[in-house]
Amino acid sequence: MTMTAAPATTSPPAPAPAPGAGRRSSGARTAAWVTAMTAVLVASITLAVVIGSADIAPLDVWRSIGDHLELTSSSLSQLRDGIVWELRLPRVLTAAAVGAALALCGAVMQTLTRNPLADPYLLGLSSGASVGAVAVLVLGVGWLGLPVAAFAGALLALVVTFALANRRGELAPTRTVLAGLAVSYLCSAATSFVIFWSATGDSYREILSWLLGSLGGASWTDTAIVTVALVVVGTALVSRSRTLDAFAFGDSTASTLGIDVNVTRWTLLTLVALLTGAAVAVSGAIGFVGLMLPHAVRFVVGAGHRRVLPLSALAGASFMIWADTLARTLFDPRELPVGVVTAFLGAPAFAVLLRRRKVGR
Amino acid sequence: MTVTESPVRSPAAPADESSTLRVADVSWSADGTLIVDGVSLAVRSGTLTGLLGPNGAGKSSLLRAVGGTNRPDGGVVRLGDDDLLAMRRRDRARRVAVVEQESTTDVPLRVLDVVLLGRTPHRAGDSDEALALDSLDTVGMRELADRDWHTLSGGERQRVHLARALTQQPRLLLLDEPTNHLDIHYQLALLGFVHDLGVTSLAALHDLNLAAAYCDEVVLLRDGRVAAAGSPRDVLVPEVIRDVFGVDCDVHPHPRTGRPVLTFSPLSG
Repeated sequence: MTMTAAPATTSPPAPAPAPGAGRRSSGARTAAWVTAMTAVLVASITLAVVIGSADIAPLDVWRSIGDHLELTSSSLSQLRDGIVWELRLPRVLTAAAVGAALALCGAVMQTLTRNPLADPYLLGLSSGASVGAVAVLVLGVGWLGLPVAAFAGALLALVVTFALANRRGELAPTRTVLAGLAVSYLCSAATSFVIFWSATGDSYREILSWLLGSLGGASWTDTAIVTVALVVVGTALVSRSRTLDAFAFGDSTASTLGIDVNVTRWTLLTLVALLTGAAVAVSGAIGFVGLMLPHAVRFVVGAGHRRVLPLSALAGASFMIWADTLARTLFDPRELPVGVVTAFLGAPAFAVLLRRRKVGR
Repeated sequence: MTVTESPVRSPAAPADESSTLRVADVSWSADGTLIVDGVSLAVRSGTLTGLLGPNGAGKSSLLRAVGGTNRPDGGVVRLGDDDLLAMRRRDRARRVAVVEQESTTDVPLRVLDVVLLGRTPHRAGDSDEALALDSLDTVGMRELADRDWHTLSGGERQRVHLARALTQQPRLLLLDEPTNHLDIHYQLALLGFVHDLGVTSLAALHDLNLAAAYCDEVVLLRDGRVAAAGSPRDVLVPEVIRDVFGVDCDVHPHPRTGRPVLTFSPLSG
């Protein structure tokens, strides 16, 4: 049964070709992309650990990893092993996890708000998380308190941004970004104030690292915090891929497909705030990663979330590794806040998105 | 304005009540204004009923109330033995598919992704993609499965939405002005197709002649109430049309199908 007009109508549409002709299974294509991006990530991790003032060979990286996992026993010098295992590897892996987390958060936020400009940084979540993190640092609680407070800050910032932007149940993209900006400024001011008020030493550096992000001094604990959040929240988000696809055509269509739109939106946004909180707790507020990479991925593989979410995470991880590598080597031995690097690349991307049709409402 | 073709309905199916839609005394109001006012209607299992009426008569609102997007103030909606309003959204979406007016998106989804949305309320399975491709085949769009949504014309988009609705494997299909912005070929094709589908369908329509040509029954709404209901031949008569739409009309039998064809003229005194 094909859909053609009633008998007397002249030419019906051309008949469909034989089933399966010219189609590659989308699963195979996705797998190819995931494999390629994973390879890029592994290469990025290896190279980023190698790059720096000490003389490390690519193979040393894997020797050190092998030794510590007790899979190999090589004769790597203690100095080199220390540089790889204690200094560079936790930093590079934390960068990867933070980049993956932010890109994933951006992709999900853009879908749930139907706003191509949505991103944890632009909507104020990152700054909110910074305030939470800085506040508990001043109060001096253990390492678990940090991500929890950052999560609370991110969630609060999200609620305030949406409350400011909401007009008759609609979140117009431009108004949402402006509301996010207002929240972001307020939270940044609060962060700076708290640090300045409490600190004794080099408060400017610390303020910079919270407001613009820094992965300097990242430890294995940091790696663990972000990675655990990434795996738990990332799995939950990827398992909701089809639900996220349904949001593309708006709330009403999503609802007719059996989705409880409001419950789903707030559940997933809470997960996004959780993941943002974890990322910000270890790296400060790094901008534009969540904005750019999902768009780049959609441009290449389309908007289906089964492809967009894993690939955004992988692309975000590699991207952040290189952004951080630039940040620490460009003015070696001084370090540039990593957010400066991402903003150089991300702000033009933001401008391009802003110029696109349908955003400037 | 005439429609020249009408499908010949296959002999009446045995009286199967399992997918008969029964709407009883459904009301819905927005911001304190009653939009749908105690509507009752029935759509026999496997038939197509047209929902007609002037702008603002409450056609879309009634469809949304039946589909559960608008929570009715009162009334009962049953599909066979199932109470559609009492069940969970997801269970309802397994039984009822909705094709909305001009539903579109900014994101670059592929056609196949859009059609696969029809599997949202169902448990994910290996046959989902095959099912989606079959639906695309049915609406004559299979070769466009990998195209970007934004490259499609209005008619193609509407057919993709129909394929998505079919992929939902519904027992009830609700369509809101499905022929809007389609050229005459696809207007006839789409309604003829929905008619022949054998799925219980309720479609809000603007064009009375399209309704007369393809619907098994029509329901005429005015101010949120049922003004008339029955076969097109019984309902689409000059007195009723004048009463509801405020225009004069002449009704002729279609030269090929014998179905009513309406020609309109302004009210003469």
